[in-house]
Amino acid sequence: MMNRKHDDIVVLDNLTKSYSAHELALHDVTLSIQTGEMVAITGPSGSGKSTLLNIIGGNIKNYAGLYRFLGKDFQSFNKKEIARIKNKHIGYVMQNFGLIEDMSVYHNLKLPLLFNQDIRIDQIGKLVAATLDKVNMPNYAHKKVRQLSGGEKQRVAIARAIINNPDLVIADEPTGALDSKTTLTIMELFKKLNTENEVTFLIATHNREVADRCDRIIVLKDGTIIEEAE
Amino acid sequence: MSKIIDFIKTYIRISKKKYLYHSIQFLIIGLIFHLVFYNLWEMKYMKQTLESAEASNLYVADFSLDDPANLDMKLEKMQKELPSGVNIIAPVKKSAFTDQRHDNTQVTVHFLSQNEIEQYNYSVSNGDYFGNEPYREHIYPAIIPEQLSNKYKIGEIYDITINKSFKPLQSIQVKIIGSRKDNYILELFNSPNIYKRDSTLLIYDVTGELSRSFYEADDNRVPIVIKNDTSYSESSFISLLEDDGLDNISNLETEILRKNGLTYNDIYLYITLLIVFIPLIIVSLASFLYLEFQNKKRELYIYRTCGIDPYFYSLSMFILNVTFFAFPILLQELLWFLICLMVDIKFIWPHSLALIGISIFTVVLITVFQSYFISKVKYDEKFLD
Repeated sequence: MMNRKHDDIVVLDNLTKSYSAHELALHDVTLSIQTGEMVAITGPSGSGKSTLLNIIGGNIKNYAGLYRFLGKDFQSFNKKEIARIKNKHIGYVMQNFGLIEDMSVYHNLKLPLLFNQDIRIDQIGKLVAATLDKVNMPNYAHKKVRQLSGGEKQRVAIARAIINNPDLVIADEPTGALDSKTTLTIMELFKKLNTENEVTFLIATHNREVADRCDRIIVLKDGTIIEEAE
Repeated sequence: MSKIIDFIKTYIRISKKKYLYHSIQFLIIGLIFHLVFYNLWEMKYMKQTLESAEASNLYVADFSLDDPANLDMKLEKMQKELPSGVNIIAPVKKSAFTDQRHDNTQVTVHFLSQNEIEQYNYSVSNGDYFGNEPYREHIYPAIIPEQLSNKYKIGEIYDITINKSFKPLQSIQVKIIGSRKDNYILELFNSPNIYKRDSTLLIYDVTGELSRSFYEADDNRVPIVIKNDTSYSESSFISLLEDDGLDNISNLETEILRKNGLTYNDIYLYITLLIVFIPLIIVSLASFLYLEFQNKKRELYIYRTCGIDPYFYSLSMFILNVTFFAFPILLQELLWFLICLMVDIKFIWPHSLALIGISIFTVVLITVFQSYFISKVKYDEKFLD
């Protein structure tokens, strides 16, 4: 069903989402994201960035308009298929990392592999080690997440997002809680994964420097795209 | 399967002790359930036996006489002197032993007279009760417990050796006419009560000759059973019997219920325990699961974001719930089974099946709730704190 070398990985056509009759989170959003692109979504707080990312990430299903993922209408997927897409095709880096603090790095990274039916349990150790290498954290597997710094946590969150080798990585304010030096490190890591592994990135950010490091910037305001720049 | 076990370990890593605590609760409540319902079940049959025998109208009294060998004659004479409605049912008899064994127990025989078969009216699950078949000379009708149905077949004639004080007395021929499932009988010798006898044959002593050797005579006193079908009050009736030379007179039902008073008191205690414990356990389990869900909302959202398969999650929760909420019940069943074997009480399958059914229903219900609520965890800014 899914093909990594599809031209448009994400296509949104007149996407509208409202949380109540008076609150329109997204209004007629139309955009497409191509495989291998690194796209930044910027805009002020409440502009609809997180809502857009949650729709693309499959966390919100009630919306109007069309959302195609790898050429297929997302509304046509059932719960099992959505779970499979979220597990194998979309990696999600949540705001404030979204890690389970009392567990080790290894156990956090293991979760998507446990849910991946194509991975055997004896492969998990090697895959976790290889992914930690990719994010330059080879000796962190058995450290508790709560012992890590903000930058280290973010790299673990990225490692978890890419561990199943997804087509698309969605990052919601990935550098929001980090200092500028760590922000730079994280962006270099994103760029490296984007170029070396052909992973498509969709990054929501307030940070202009982060946005400038992406291939394309989409600016949202009041739920509408007001600007799009290469 | 190993992935599911791995996931379950991750899922319960913080609340392992709480799950264990609820398991132990389930195990204990299961045992209390068995104790209560076993006793209720016993009491039900005890009451049935008393009612079927109309034991409220029956009295046991000691009859003194110089020579117990003259007992039948004396009783016949006494019966003639008693007012209408007062009937001597039978002298109290000891059980007779046979030379047969069943499940490490000596097979015994309980002789019943004409009056007794009419009075006690024991229920029969297969075949016929006494009195429906013509008596063939020296072949005594017998009813067996179902537990002995492999040894004795309905319709067949068997030779049985009767022992007295473990010395062979005589060999008799019996014809099996029926069998009983619930083997509760009134045993009046020594200390009247209702007992469950799974190795006792009921034999209709048609001629009354066999019973004589087993009359309970002690110091020339023989206890006899008398029925009061008159309108006399209990005290008047007792006075009447005392005037006829009987003493130690007691109402059979009152006497048996008094002896089993302890059982009644136990039941009240167990029922109180059940009434207190069951709502406590339900509330404690429900609040534990609710708090567990509230505490895990963020984690459940992370699972969903990582793409947990709904079937994988449901199956994991089912196995988790079976392990902690159904397995203790199975373990408790095994324990109860061993207790039944050790103290020689009946293991009642319907009670066990009901408990296992309730635990499976609970497991399914909890799993359905857990599977439903994970899909209801919404993205919440609070998760980010």
